[in-house]
Formats: sequence, structure tokens, C-alpha cells
Amino acid sequence: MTSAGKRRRASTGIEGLDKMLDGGLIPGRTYILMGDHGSGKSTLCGHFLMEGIKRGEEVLYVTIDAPPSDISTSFIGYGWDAGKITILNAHPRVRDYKARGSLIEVAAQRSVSTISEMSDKEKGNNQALVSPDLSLPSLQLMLQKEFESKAYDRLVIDSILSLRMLGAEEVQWEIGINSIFRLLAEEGLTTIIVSDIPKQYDNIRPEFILSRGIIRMNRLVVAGKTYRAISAQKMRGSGHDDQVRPVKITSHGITVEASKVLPPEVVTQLAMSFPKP
Amino acid sequence: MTVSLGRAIPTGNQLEDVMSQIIPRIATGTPGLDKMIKGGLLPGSIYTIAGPPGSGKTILAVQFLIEGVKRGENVLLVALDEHPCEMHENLLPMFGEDFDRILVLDGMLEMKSYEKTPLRDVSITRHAEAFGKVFPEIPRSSDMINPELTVSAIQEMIKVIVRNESISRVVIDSVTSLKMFMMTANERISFLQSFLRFLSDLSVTSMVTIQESDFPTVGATDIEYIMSRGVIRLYRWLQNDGFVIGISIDKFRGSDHDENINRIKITPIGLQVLDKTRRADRGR
Ligand SMILES: Nc1ncnc2c1ncn2[C@@H]1O[C@H](COP(=O)(O)OP(=O)(O)OP(=O)(O)O)[C@@H](O)[C@H]1O
Ligand SMILES: Nc1ncnc2c1ncn2[C@@H]1O[C@H](COP(=O)(O)OP(=O)(O)OP(=O)(O)O)[C@@H](O)[C@H]1O
Ligand SMILES: [Mg+2]
Ligand SMILES: [Mg+2]
Repeated sequence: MTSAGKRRRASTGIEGLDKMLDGGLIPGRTYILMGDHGSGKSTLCGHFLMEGIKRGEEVLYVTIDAPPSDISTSFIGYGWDAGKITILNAHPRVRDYKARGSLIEVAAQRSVSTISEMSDKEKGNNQALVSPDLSLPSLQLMLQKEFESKAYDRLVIDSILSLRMLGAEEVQWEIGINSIFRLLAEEGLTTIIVSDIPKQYDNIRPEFILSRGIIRMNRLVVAGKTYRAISAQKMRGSGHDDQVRPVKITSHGITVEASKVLPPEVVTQLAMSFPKP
Repeated sequence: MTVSLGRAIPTGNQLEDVMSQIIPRIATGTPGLDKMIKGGLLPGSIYTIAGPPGSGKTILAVQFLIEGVKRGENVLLVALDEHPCEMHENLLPMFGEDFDRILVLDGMLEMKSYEKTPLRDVSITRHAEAFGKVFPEIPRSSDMINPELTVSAIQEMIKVIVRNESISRVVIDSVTSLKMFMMTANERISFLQSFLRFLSDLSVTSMVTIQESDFPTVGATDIEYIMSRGVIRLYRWLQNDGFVIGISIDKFRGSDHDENINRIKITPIGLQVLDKTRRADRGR
């Protein structure tokens, strides 16, 4: 009988964050990372995947909101030997209004490459391809095809924001989300799905319900100074830090200062999203 | 025939007070919560536990079932947010072997197969089993055409289980998932109303959880709140020493209750409502 609390954890690759999460993520589960723009979400995901590589795991980065070159440039900028990260490019191509692909066609032409071989592939003639409609079903099919060719241990989907806003409505959002979460659980992948932070009066989203944990990153300016912060919102089956911790981004990536606190005026500003009733 | 109550015949609110003193109360299993509702839940009704992600809804609802197990009752959990095998991993360390005696019905939808045309009305064969017998891995979605798990199939299964196993306590975790994943937007109000009506006709005491956002609409008028006898709400807010969780009783038909928001704490041994005086001692 396994006990979630005592079980092996999947290190996030960020020491301070592991400490906040009682050791790391629970392997085989899907987590949501929500955050402001420029708060460090993609960088955190990079640490998580590099940690997997360090352990000899297979890791996959699905990029939707940014072109793969942005990701590789920034990872290489942090001094990472990111060559072993496989990138699945789901970034929307220039839309060819004449040829719209069926779901199956879209999935079949998914473009996968490791960061090291990417530069050549990227030069390929994008417009020659069928225009993929960005949607949850096409993402699921791309993933299923990819999992058939290789067994992965860690996965990042960065991010579902544009899927949610622009995705073709081939299926009700809730149903599509449920299906992808189920696929990831069946495959046993430890996954981070990147999301935006919902507006104050937004309804609860299905991805928050189905996630096994939620990590939140903030980037805010208080009195002319920029601060970055991270907190754990939920962690099923595990205790977690209940403080908001400072985050620093340097040329080596992210550090989470798990025993420091933010200045009170910064916490006060963050608290506006979590008011005392 | 005349009956002497030994005092004036009570009326209106007084009558409810007297009633609530006569009717036996059902212990919630959460330390400190019974005190907030003056003794416990009233039997045979639906209670709502609403709160944001990670606020402790599932743990609170499971404690209600564990309390039943401890009293030798048969209890049922309908799992719609988390797969039973993960719940088992999460909660067995917290509750020990009592947890294994809870009957669980896996109400989670399988993966959608976009390459095949789904067939409708395939009959569902899912059974409730004790947590102790849950297979420790999420089963693969069937390679065959996906059978559709519908609200009415779930309703039918609950009905049979409650009757065959003499269930006295039921938890639906969460009713939000039932609504989101098994009803289209147009169906939600009427289907949910009928589901809750079904639940209250079962003459079991039930807790249904509701997933709220971090910024809940105060005074929500959703059908699930209206149809519950009591609404217990969990909150999470941020103060200078970090996130804290609180609990309040938003309504409790037929009984007096605590009107304050009390703090709660989740530890490796469960969720408890903190004592106000102890809180004051700590100066928080
Ligand atoms: N070498 C560096 N030194 C200091 N800060 C850096 C460095 N490289 C990047 N940054 C900071 O990190 C931020 C980018 O972080 P990252 O891309 O991880 O954020 P994100 O949350 O994914 O943003 P987006 O919402 O745009 O996807 C940059 O905007 C920059 O402020
Ligand atoms: N062993 C533990 N020690 C301390 N806290 C724990 C422990 N296990 C769980 N928790 C806390 O309980 C929370 C989960 O509780 P629970 O699953 O009941 O919440 P919920 O409101 O049902 O969440 P969800 O929105 O995911 O359904 C975790 O986020 C964590 O903070
Ligand atoms: Mg990013
Ligand atoms: Mg829950």
C-alpha cells in the first residue's frame, strides 16, 4: 500500500520549491501552474524538465503560446544543456484558410524535435502544412500519437491560455479537459500545465478541479519595485507551505527563498486577490 | 386526548427550536464543527460544503463518512473529482483502516476517443466497492467505443447501492463535477435540481461538495445552495503570516448555529475547527 505522504516525490528541480511542497510533486499526477505574465512560469517548467533529464528520464515540452525558438533561446540563456528536451510544437502556424485539416490530419503532422535538432526543422515551409485548428481534441490526439512513439516521464504544457480563448469548439471545454487529464493519469506522467490567473469573478474552471495541485506565481510592482512570488494553493495528499515566498530570476534560472518572506506591503497587495471574508 | 408539554405550546421559531432539540443529531466527524451547529446535522437532509480548491472540502466530507464507519454504519462516497485510487493514496495515511470500509463509486468519465464515433446509451457496469479493494492504478479507458456515463446512470447506481447496502450516509464529491462533466450548460439547472431531489428522497444524510473559485460570489443563488438544508462554507484568505482557512455556517434550516467564521487547520491526522479561545491565546 503506497502512502502519498511517504512516497517518493518528483523533484521540481528548484530546491526552495521542493521544500515548500514537502519534497516535490507526487509522481504520475497533473498539476496546474498559474501565474502572471513574466512571473517565471516557463522558467520553472524548464527546471522541472531539466531535473528529469538529470535523472535519466524522458521529458516533453509542449509549447502552444510561444514559438519553440523563444523557449530554446531562454533555456540556453540560463546555461542549460537543454538539448535532450523534446519539444512538441503546437504553436499555431500561419493560418491557411483554404486547407483546414481534420483532427486526425493535424495530429499526424505534429512536429516534434529535440532542442538541439530544432533549428533545421523550424526552417521547414510551414505554410505547406494543413492549418491546424488549435483545440483540446487536436492536442489530445497529438499527445496520444507522441506517447505511442515514446514513453515519457515528465510533461509540460505551456500554456492552455490560448487554447481556452481561441480553441476551436470541437468539444465542450469541460469534456476536453477531463479527457486530457484522464489520458495523462493513465500514462502516469508527472505533468505541469501552465495557466493564467483567473479574473476575480470567473467561475471555477474544470482544470482547477481536476488538478492534483495548484502552484501560483505572481509578478507585481510595489512602490516602483518589481517582486516575484510563489505559493502553493493546493496539494492533494500532502502538506505544503502556507506562506507566499519570494522568487528571484537570475542568469541561472529561478531560486525560491523558502525560508524568507516578502515585505508586508507586497503581501498586502497579493492579499487583495484573497480577501478576508 | 391532551398532551402536556409541561409548558406553553411552542409556536413558530420556538417550535423549530424544540424540534431540533428532540430530533437526534448526526455527528459530522469534524472536531469543533458539531459545536458550531449546536450538536450535529439533522438526519435525512442534504448539506452543502462549498469552498475554493484545496480548502478541505473532501477531507471534511470524508470525515463525515468515517464517523459513520466508526458507528458501524454503511457509507457511500461518489467520487467525481479524484479517481478512487488517488483518493486512497491521499487519505489512507490520514484515516487508517476505517477509510478502507467506505464504499466508493467511481463516477469519473473516461478518456474521449476522438477517432471513433461514440455510441449513446451503452449500459454502464460500474459497482461500488470498499476503498480497501480499490485497484491502485487508474484503469485504462476502454479501447472499445466509450460508454457514456450519464447522470441518470449514476443516479440509478446510487439508488441500488443505497438500498442493497443499507447506506445511511452519502457524499457526492463534487456536485460541481457532476454538473460540469455530465450536463450541458442548458441542462444544468433542471438536472441538478432533479438529482438533489432524488438524493433527498433517499432518506440518507448527505454531504455534497461544491467547487468555488477563490473569490466566491457571496450569497450565491445556485440551485445547490437553495436545495440544501445547510450550507457550510470554507474560505481561504491571505494575511501577513500566510494563507489561512476559515469555516462558516451560511445557513442551517431548523437550528441555531454559530454566526462567526472560525479558523480551521488541516494536519496529517485530519481537519479540525480551531477553538476561538486557543486562537486568541496565540494572538492571531
Ligand atoms: N538572465 C536573466 N536574468 C534575470 N531575469 C531574467 C533572465 N532571463 C529572464 N529573466 C526574467 O524572467 C522573465 C521570463 O520568465 P518566464 O518566461 O519564465 O515567464 P513566464 O511566466 O513564462 O512569462 P509568459 O507569461 O510571458 O510566458 C523575463 O520576463 C525576465 O524578466
Ligand atoms: N498530510 C497533510 N498534512 C497537512 N495538510 C494536508 C495533508 N494532506 C492534505 N492536506 C491539505 O489538504 C488539502 C486538500 O484537502 P481536500 O482535498 O479536502 O481539499 P478540497 O477542498 O477537496 O480540494 P479540491 O479542490 O482539490 O477538491 C491540501 O491542499 C493540503 O493543503
Ligand atoms: Mg512562458
Ligand atoms: Mg476535493
